[in-house]
Amino acid sequence: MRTRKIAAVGLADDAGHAFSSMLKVLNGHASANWTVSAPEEADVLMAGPHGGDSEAQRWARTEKPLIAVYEGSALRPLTPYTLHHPFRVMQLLAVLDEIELVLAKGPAEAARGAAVDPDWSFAESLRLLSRCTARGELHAAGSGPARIYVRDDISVYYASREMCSRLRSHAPLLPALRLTAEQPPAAFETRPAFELAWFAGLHGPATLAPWLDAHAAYRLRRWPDFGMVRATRAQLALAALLTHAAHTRTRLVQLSQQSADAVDRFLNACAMAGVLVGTSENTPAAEASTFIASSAARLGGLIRGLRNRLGLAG
Amino acid sequence: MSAGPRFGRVATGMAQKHLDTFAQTTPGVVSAVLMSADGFEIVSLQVGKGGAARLAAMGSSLSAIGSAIAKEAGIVECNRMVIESDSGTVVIMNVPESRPPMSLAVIANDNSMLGQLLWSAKTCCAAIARAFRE
Amino acid sequence: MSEEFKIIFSGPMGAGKTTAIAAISDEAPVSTDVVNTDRAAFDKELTTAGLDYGRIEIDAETSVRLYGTPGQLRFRFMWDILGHNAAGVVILLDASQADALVQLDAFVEAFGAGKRAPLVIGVGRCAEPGALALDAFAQRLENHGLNLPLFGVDVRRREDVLLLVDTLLCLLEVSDPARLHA
Repeated sequence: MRTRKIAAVGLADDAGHAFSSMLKVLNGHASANWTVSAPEEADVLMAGPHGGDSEAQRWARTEKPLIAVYEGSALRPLTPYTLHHPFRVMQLLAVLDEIELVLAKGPAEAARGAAVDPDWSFAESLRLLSRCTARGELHAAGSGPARIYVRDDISVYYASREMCSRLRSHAPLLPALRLTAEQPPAAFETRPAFELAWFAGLHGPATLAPWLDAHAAYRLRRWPDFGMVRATRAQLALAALLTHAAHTRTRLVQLSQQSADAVDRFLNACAMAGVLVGTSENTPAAEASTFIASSAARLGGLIRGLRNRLGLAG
Repeated sequence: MSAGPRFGRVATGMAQKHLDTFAQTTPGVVSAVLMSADGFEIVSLQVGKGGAARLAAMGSSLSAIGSAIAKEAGIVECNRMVIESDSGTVVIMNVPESRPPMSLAVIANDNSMLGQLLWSAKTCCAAIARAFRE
Repeated sequence: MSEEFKIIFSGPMGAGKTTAIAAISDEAPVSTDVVNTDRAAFDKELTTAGLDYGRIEIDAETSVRLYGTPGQLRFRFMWDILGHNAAGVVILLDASQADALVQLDAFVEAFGAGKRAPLVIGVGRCAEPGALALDAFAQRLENHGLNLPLFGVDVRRREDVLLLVDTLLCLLEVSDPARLHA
């Protein structure tokens, strides 16, 4: 069994203590041996909201896994691995085992060149921001009425009404987000950052994002809030597929009979929104639904009929 | 789950007396529950605590479905429902003009005679209705 | 031959089950509303004691039946009766109710946590002051190891109800083994 190093920064005292004793408990049960180390030597960083900013900033530039710990009523960070304090040992074990699957495959090589492709620079900067510890600052991109501001805790963004609707329908080419001391104009709307992250992924380039692995199998950790970002039928179908099991993009194209572009964009959006997790191929998702759907085939005609009647076609 | 005080102590006390009298004078009555239309037990007779609450909820659902069926069939008002089996009878009867609306569920064994059971239950419901009006 | 196909709408009192069914049913739904005597639990005049029933006709032989359950736990027996053989379940919750997370657990568990039939969850009134964030519901599901569709919705909007139904249909399609092994 491999030994992995994990560092923790910014945890509250009680969480820190709980974390070290949990590590002792889960060794022998986890798929790797976990030891605590300094951030410089660690394979994984666990970052909470109580300081440790500089380590987290440095970490954000690497492609190493980050476990974001959040508390109370704070919004869930848009990163794939999160824990809500106080968490239980089984939850920590589940996250560490997921990470081990990814680590065992070796470093993602594709990720290196990410920043150079200008089409990805905005999404990439937003993604990096979501891996940093929040300091209550604003980051901004674009200029004039097309400028948008993002809170560094990735809770909300600010943009003009027109810009908000452009973001929803297509991707305005934006440069990378940069730290700013400006405040957004009063007329700008305040919107959930989840929406920005989702559309930045969905309307970005029609290729798999550079930080995703074209050969890895992915599944959904949770469903995106399609009440907020309206999903098309095609997107609902992809989400449904990734609920039951992990699939590679090739397999998803096959199963969904959708174009590779559509599948890539969906995966990008889910990754940006922090709901996508990589896993070993075709592992059934945790608690995969096992309801007997032998009737589903017979129901095919009925489902089509119901959609027609409700005006849900296409 | 019992919601006695909400329905008035005096009236529920009187309703309990009427229910006792009904059971003593009617052959075959095993148990009974007076319930609000939304399924709360008001008073009960010879049923365990959990049993009365369950019976109240089920009785009110049946009563509500009965009324919906009556309306669908164009017969305006459903006054009572009778569930019969070889070993006994369940009657669910609306208490007329009661505020809040309520029903009485009676469980009787095979010593009962349906005609007598219905007549006694109707008399009991009328007395209960008076108790809640006063 | 007519097919058994019913969709269940469940969730606590006041979450909008009757409204949701009315939004998509062909005709005015049959309802079994009675006077609510428990105004402390939820302050509204009427509540469902039996069931709501709506219908969407597909063609002369086939229709989809929509059933709404009573919300209160004392009517649990109706959840089981109506939920039997359901093609899918929509659970509606109200984020402004203090015990909304307990309700989430109770209803998800009662309807088989998505394992017996596809299940989607719509959470209303998220924007009301003091309401729980949608994330709290998602976190709760995650803690139970469940990944179920969970959306912020307003069931007075037909499109929101349609989103919930369409998600159920997508889950049903995916569960079709013939398609998965095609």
